[in-house]
Amino acid sequence: MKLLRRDWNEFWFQPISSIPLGMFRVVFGLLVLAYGLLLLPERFIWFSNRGVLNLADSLAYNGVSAWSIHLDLLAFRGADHWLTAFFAVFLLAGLFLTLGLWTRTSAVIVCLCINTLHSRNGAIHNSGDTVMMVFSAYLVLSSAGAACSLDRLWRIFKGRENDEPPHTAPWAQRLMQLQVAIVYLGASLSKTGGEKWVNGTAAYYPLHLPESARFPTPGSELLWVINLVTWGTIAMELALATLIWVPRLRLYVILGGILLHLGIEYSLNIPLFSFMMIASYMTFLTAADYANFLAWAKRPLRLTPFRVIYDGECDFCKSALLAVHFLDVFRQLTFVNSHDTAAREAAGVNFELAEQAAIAVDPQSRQFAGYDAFRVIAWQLPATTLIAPLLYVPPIPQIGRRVYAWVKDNRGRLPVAPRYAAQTPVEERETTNV
Amino acid sequence: MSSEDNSRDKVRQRRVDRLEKRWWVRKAVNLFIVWHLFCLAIWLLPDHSSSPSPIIEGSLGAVRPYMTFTGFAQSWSMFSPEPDKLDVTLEAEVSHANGHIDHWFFPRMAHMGYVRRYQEERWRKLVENATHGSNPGLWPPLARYAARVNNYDAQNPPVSVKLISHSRLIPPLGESMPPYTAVPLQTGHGPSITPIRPEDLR
Repeated sequence: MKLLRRDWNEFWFQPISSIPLGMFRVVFGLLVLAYGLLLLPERFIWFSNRGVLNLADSLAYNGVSAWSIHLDLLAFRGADHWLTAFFAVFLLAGLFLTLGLWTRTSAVIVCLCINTLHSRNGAIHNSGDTVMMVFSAYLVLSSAGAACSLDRLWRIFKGRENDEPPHTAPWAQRLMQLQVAIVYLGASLSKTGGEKWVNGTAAYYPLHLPESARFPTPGSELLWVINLVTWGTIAMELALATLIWVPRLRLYVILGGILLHLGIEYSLNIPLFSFMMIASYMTFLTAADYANFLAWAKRPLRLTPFRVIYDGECDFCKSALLAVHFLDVFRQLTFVNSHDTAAREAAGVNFELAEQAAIAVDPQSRQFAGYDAFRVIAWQLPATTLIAPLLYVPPIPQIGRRVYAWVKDNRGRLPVAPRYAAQTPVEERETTNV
Repeated sequence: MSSEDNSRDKVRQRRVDRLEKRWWVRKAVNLFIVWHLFCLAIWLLPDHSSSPSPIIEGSLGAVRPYMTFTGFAQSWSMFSPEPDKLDVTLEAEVSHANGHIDHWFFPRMAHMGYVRRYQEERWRKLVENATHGSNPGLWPPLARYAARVNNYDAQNPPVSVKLISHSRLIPPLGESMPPYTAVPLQTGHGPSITPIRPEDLR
């Protein structure tokens, strides 16, 4: 009994890295945005009283489905402008959830909005939408903003957290994992009761329904291919319910699940369903998996390590570097205080230049100052890689240099991270530890 | 950050730490976990027996409100126990005041490009829900919607709509595809014909 209690507590409550949940939240938030944006243009058709189902029809439909209590924020206000406002709030909350800004509040709003859309028109939602609704509820319960979030960046600014994201009790994440496993267990067991699944021909039918099929599936007229897909699906679903818990097999099972759902995504038109299921596997990954992935991805991405020389007596510069360090997922940047003479000289940067602007130095000792430093650093950070090419397009460099010069001249008056604002005179400040 | 803010943060952190260590918080979370797992099992695991288990039957009354209200109510079985074989599209026969009849089809995925069908997939799901299961409650709203779409002449508004399903069963592997059969959706009293009132057209 003691052992059981210990294992139970360890499984549900022993703190684990919050990175996997944070990464899942980011991907989930993007899927929520995609879901909202897909529905937005046709919101009046699906959710207004002049659409397909008015409120009375919707209530009647939910009654027929024997669903009892339903949460529907749109039940109180049926006007079109209210529906548009509802979508604006929903999409904004989805964006904030992705960024991890006011994460818990954003998760609550997203959960309420998805629930409302399901209640207001339950007849148009597919399996992927339902999975999204369920996971939105789990995110409300979890510490989804503990890592990979602007909330965490703010905590770093305040000096409450440092390099390592906190470890948190995983019980909500464990519930997500169990949900995934039980769903696949239910789906696979249910298939064993179906004649077409047992005789190996079930996969043939959805692939040939003109309304649900997407791209032509090679081999879908061959019995052995259909047998393989049919029985392979059952085997894969069983594995996702059971073998996924075996540490040595976990990644292989996840890979199999991803292939299964990419196959479904290719052959069947069920928007977001496969992406949602693949995202749900992220709850099974560990911080070590992400670290391994980053180490593996470094080489093909051809990232360049830079030394960044900054004015260690400028609070604004140190605050900005906190954000840069936070975004430096691949840890390609080393920060050098310009007042640390030995380190600065090792980088080949003279003091006067370092006083004028931040300098980025690449392994070939090429130096990039000010806006140019900002531009080369942008290539190294996953969050800014996409905008990096734009930083070369006129007139952005001209504007960027002016903005940089203005910031440099006014840095003493710009807001700084609270952890530095609390400190007293410049002479007494410690050199930064970003 | 002022020293006042600093101490406020510390107090807040201490409060959170204390709360997490309290025995009743841990107990409450444990109770929630047990309850939630029970609900998941009742809700998601299939019951293969011909007569439903009394445990499942008895528990559903308590489990259902919790699952539906919180949004945990997920139930999908990925084309099981039998995959869908019914290929169906829905036509609305819209009768106007002067006797003219319009034949209008609800959007069909097979007639759309790949991008548009991704955006419009909701129509497929709606038609599937209206025609596959026992959801005759969806027919009048669908008929009224078809009337609104075809209300292009104020002097000659739609007065009734008959819904007709065009369907065929996908044959087993190796057999040729049969043609569609057009059949009006049937209520207990005959074909489903929805009378259209002026207020339905707004």
